[in-house]
Amino acid sequence: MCHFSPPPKQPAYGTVKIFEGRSVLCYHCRKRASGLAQASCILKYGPTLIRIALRVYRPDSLRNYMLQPQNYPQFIGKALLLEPDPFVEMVDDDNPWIEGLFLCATIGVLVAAAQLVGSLLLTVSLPHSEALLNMVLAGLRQSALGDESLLETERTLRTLWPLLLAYTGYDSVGFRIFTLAATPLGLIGQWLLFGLTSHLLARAAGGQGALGQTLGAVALSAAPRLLYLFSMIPFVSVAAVLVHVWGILIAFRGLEVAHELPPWPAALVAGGAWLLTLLVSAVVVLLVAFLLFLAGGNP
Amino acid sequence: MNPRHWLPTPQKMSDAVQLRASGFTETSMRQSLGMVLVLGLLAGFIPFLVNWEQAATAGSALPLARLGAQASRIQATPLTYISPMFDPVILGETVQLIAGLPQPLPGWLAAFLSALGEWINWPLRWLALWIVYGALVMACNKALGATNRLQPFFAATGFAAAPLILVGLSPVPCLGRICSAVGVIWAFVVYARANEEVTNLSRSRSLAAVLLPLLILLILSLLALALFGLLLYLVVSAV
Repeated sequence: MCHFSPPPKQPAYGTVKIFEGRSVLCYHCRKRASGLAQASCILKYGPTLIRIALRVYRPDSLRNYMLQPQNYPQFIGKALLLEPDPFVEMVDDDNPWIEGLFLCATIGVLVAAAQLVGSLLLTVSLPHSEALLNMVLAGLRQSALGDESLLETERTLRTLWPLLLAYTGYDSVGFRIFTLAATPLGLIGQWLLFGLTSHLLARAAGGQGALGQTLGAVALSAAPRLLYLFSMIPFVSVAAVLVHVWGILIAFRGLEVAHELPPWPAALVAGGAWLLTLLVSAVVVLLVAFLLFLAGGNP
Repeated sequence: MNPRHWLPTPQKMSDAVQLRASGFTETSMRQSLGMVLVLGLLAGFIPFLVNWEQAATAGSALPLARLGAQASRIQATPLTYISPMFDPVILGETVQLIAGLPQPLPGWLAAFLSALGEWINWPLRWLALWIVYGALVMACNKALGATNRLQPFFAATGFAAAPLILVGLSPVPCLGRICSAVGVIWAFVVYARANEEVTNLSRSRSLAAVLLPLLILLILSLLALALFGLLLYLVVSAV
């Protein structure tokens, strides 16, 4: 018997909104139901039944041709709260991957601009980096290190210093200007990689979504990166683990919607794709750091 | 923007900290998110004032003011016992000199900006704890047979932030540490109760789901610490 008929007694929270003109696909009987009253009734009840209504279809006349940028804050906010609406909107869009591309680029530019401002403020809040380095080196010269070890330590420190500055944003405004272009591009690269890996893994797990839909849904996992906007205030540190874990949770919801996957496979696909992306990103970062090291720390 | 959409009612918060079941229902994840951020900001307010005063007195940014304050402690540390190349007196003097370096901004402004940054870190840290630890607990819940979804889980566990506000009293001498300890323990109890309520698991299973990530993180941290210690020992030995 299908779950479309009698609703359970216990009401559940986090219901899925249903709009007029849409229809709902039942996960169990694979039949579609349409009509607002019936759909609302299904969606209102039971945590186990919410999954039934995750995939919502709309007729072509109501299809969303382009998301409006003024709706982005609400759209991103709902994704952060793991609500299914933005994923449904994204998947139902006529060009989900273009929406995803635009979203990632916008987030990347905003974050890079915030980090540039943060870097400027941090630089004027602290002593000049050269004076700081000289003071550290002077302290080092007074230590009991041998001449050869001292020279070696000093040389290593002078080589690593620019990398440390670039990483922290301290006295590295030039590098931050470079990241104005690099951050959005990097974010787009990560999104493409994450989207492609997710799509392949989701397909292997029995998913039914198209590549464009996966890319659109997964693009919303970049939303927690907006927390980096706080880094325009010096000394604010946003935990990378928060951004990544929140991103995985959003991707999990997106994959559930785009591929109509049950929770466990969707969670495994999101986690696995993230691990692969992390591995590739780490290799790229190490490569860039090595190139910077060869160039003497000057980008 | 209606504040009611972003915060649970005070009655709900009161019910939750008193571990009443009614405190953990009918709240949305949005309300819990708002509560975590607002309570984090409130908790960080007294430390913000203390930090600003400390940094402004030193006339520098907060990390440098703290570094300067640690100089005498460094000089009293028996570093020579670890390695003869570190002279605690010289190290302490170097730290003091670094802390005294002038910065382009006026001292009070650098102090304000750094203290403000530290303040913003409070809700961000709470948010990280809520989301990251929550994700791990949720995975354990699922493994132990829970059937609930993410949103109601996060909505309920967000109430652990309510007693955690006591941690904001940490700068108060003596009393602050006691309040912080009480706040952390109380928050943990509220978290465990919320998890039990939202998952419908038995008390023992629910508690296991809450404690398992803590245990795993503890083991991983100890391993990382041991690895770091070994690495440090090897580097110092090589030099």
